This record gives sequence, C-alpha cells and structure tokens, in this order.
Amino acid sequence: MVRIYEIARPFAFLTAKGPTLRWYRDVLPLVFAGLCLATYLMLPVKIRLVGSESISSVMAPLFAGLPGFFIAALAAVATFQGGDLDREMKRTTIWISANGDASDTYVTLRVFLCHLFAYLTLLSLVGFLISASAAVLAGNIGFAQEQATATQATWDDAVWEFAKGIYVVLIALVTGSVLSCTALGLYFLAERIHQELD
Amino acid sequence: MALKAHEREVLYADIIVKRRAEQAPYPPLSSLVSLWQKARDTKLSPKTFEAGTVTAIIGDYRVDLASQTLTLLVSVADPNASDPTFANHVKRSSRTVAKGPDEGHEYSAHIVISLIERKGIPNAYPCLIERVPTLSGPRLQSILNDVISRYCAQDQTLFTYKAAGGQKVAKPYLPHVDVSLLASEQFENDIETGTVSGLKFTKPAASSAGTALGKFLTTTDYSLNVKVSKDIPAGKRLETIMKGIRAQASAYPKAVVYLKPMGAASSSSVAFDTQTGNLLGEAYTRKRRIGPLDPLLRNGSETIVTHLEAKMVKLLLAER
Repeated sequence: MVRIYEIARPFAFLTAKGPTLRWYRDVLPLVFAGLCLATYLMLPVKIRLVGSESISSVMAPLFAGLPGFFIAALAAVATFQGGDLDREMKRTTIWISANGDASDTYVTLRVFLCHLFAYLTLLSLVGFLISASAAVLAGNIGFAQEQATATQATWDDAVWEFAKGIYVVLIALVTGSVLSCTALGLYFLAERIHQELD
Repeated sequence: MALKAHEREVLYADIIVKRRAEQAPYPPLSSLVSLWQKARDTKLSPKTFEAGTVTAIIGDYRVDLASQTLTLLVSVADPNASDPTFANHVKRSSRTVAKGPDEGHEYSAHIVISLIERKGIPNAYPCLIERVPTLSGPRLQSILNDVISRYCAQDQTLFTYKAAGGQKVAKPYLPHVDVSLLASEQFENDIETGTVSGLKFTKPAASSAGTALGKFLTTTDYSLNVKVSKDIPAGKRLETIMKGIRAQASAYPKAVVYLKPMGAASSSSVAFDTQTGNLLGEAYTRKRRIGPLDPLLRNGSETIVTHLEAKMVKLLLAER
C-alpha cells in the first residue's frame, strides 16, 4: 500500500528543527525571493518569464541537472565512514515516524545530511516542473489573456501582473532554497563530516 | 463473591503488548512469555499489594504449541481475609479453619492467552481470565508487568532498540502489557436503547505540565469532550461511537462513554482503550460461565487444573 508518509519523506527536511536551520531553509530564501520580486518590478525593461530567452528557459535546464549531483552527494554521505557522522546532533530533530510513533526525533549528522540532500533533490525537480510547465503552457496563457482582454472591456492588466509576480516569487523561492541549502550541504561535505567535535 | 466448586466464570480480554519507549519496536508476546516462565521456574519473589500484606505469584504455566496458547496459573494469597468457617446448621455446629503464620487466603486464577495476535488489532492477544476474588484485571496486569520490569532491571540487554534518528548505539527499553477487557452484548443493547449523554477523551499530562498553576496544583490529564447526537440511526450507535473512539487513538489513549440505560435511574461511565476499543473497567465485561466441572475445584491450586484449562482453551480457540 502506498503511504503518503513515504512519498512525502523527501520534504521531511522541512520539519527539521535546529539552531540555525530556519535561516538556511526559510529566511534566506524568503529574502532572496523578495529581492527578486523587487528587482523584477523595478526593472525598466521587463524580463520575459516564458518563451525563448526567458527565466523559465534558463532555469529549467539548471534544475534538471541538479538532482543527479544531489543524489550522488546523498550516496556519498550514506556510505562515508569517519568523522562525527553517526553521532547524535544534540539540538537537531526531524519529525520521524517509527513503530507507530511519530515525533520530533534527535538525528545523527548522517541522517540529517541524507534528509538535506533528499530535500534538495526533490526541490530541484519541483523547480524544474515550475519552469517547464510555465514554458509549456506559455501559448495557452497568452491565448487566455487575449480572449479575456477581447471579451471584457474592464479587464485589468494588473491581474496578469499579479500572476507574473506570483510566478517570480515561486521560482525565486525555490532557487533561493536550493542555493542556501546547497551552501549548507557543501559546508558539511567539505568540512564538518571530517571533524570529530565535542 | 464466593466461588462455586462446580463452575467458574471467565472474562474475555485482550493482552496488549506495549512499550515505554517512544519509537521502540513492539516485542512479540513470546519474548514476554519466557520471562513469566522464568519467574515460575526460578521461584521469583512474590509481587506484593496492600502495603506488602497481599502477595501474588505465577504458580504454574503450560505452553501448548499445538493450539498456540499459554496457560498461566496466577495465585494471590491474602492474609487480610477472615478465616473461613464451615457450618452444619442441622447440628447447629460450625468450625473455623485458622490461618497459620505468614499464610493468606489463596485464590488461583487460570489465564489462557493466545500466542497468535487478534486479527486486525496488532499486538493484541485474545485471552480468558478465570474470575476469582482479589484478582482484578488491573491486578493481573500489575503482576505480569512486575515480572517483566524486574528482569529488565536485572538485564538491560533483554529488550533493546536503535533509535530512528540513525544512532548506532542500542538503547534498553521496557515492554509491558495491558489487560484490556472486552465489552459484552449488554453494552451494545444499552447503547442502542439507552441515552448516551457524552463522550470524553483523556490523555495524561506531561510531567512538566502545570508548573504555571503553582506549587500545590498539578495538571494530571487533558480531556476532549464530545457531544453524541441522538440522531444516530438505530442500529448504528455502537458502531458510530466505537469508530469515533478508535479515530482518536493517536491523540488520546482513553475514552469514557457516559451512558444511561433505558429505565435506569442514573447514568454510568464506561472507560475504553481507544487503541483497541476494549473496556478498561469490569462494567459491561463480556463473560461466560464454565461448568459443570468434575472433579470439583478448590479456591487455590498449586498446579494447573487441566479439565478447567481444556474448557478455557476450547472457548479461546472459538474466539480466536
């Protein structure tokens, strides 16, 4: 039987609690998305969101290429011997269900990193889907816009601008999350897993 | 409650295996059975109640691999009970049998437990309990758990698990059993024909809860009160209520149904284990008489009485 718990596990990193985790996972991506939206709104020449030479055409190949690297990192972490990988992180928990009990559970550095790279893998795929779907639906969106404008005299362009803003925020949030969480993962891979600290 | 020599009453129950460590595995009943056997074989010191005056032991056991059942003979000795008196009213004579030093009035109960889980309820093992004075469901539960606790305290490696967070070090944990009595048909009848005035779910408060209330006030539990509609279709009341009770199993371990049977002057409360839907008290317990028994039974016994055991095993197999 397919369980939602298992399908949703790549997003378990969202339930992680730790001293600085919120900064990497929530705050920095939000700040990044805010800056991107402000930049988009203030630019005198609007950036194209879909079609050729647009945000979606640039981001889709980038997001498509990332999962392979993240899965490789996950495999490396899962099998790496040494350092503090199997030591419990004293102040870091992840919501885990085991033997019928679900609760915030203290995790080892290895489990934490596996969840981080699983999250990044799926986040990249989500980013790819957002970019690709916008590109694929571009023609339909344009058609709908023309139809709406033709049939409603009072049609307001603000609605479309709002929709574009939402799209910019979405793609920027995913990009910001991938950037900040990758930076966190690289710190652990490059430095922390080789250390044995008290 | 005086016992009759030619018949016994048995209570239907489930032995539910639990553990005191979150996310630890549920041990199979067979791993606990070996501890109860060891307690009898090594003559483990008795479990005491009532300030140490009442004692209880596992007096005998038998595992039947063919029927996959375990029979335990649990004996309770109560020195507080008055000496029994035997009378002959025709002759107007009576004789009292006085207890000796350190002796107590003994009652022995046969407990027949299925070693196979109940279908659809994980970790619940059907069981029949011979009803005797001084041995209630909670007391039996206490006797069985006392054995487990003592052996686990002696040997921390008996039950271990590795935490779900990836730690490689095995941690000890303590399993325990709940004796959960099954509800009778009378309960269903009273639910259908009587008035259900409410349903309350409770869960124990964490030890740190209630500190804000002050030095002398402590939060003991949290409750959720539920109103039960009178408009539940006839014949669906029990099913609807039990479904609601089980739906809260993850949040609240205990549910209390407030019920006023048709024609009764006052309402009563019936407590349930939300995980299994079984009773937590003796009210409305499903029971059955076994008899006539020949040879006749005594109140206490040092070994399993095989002809009573055979009838109980037959009933249990029909239940399983």
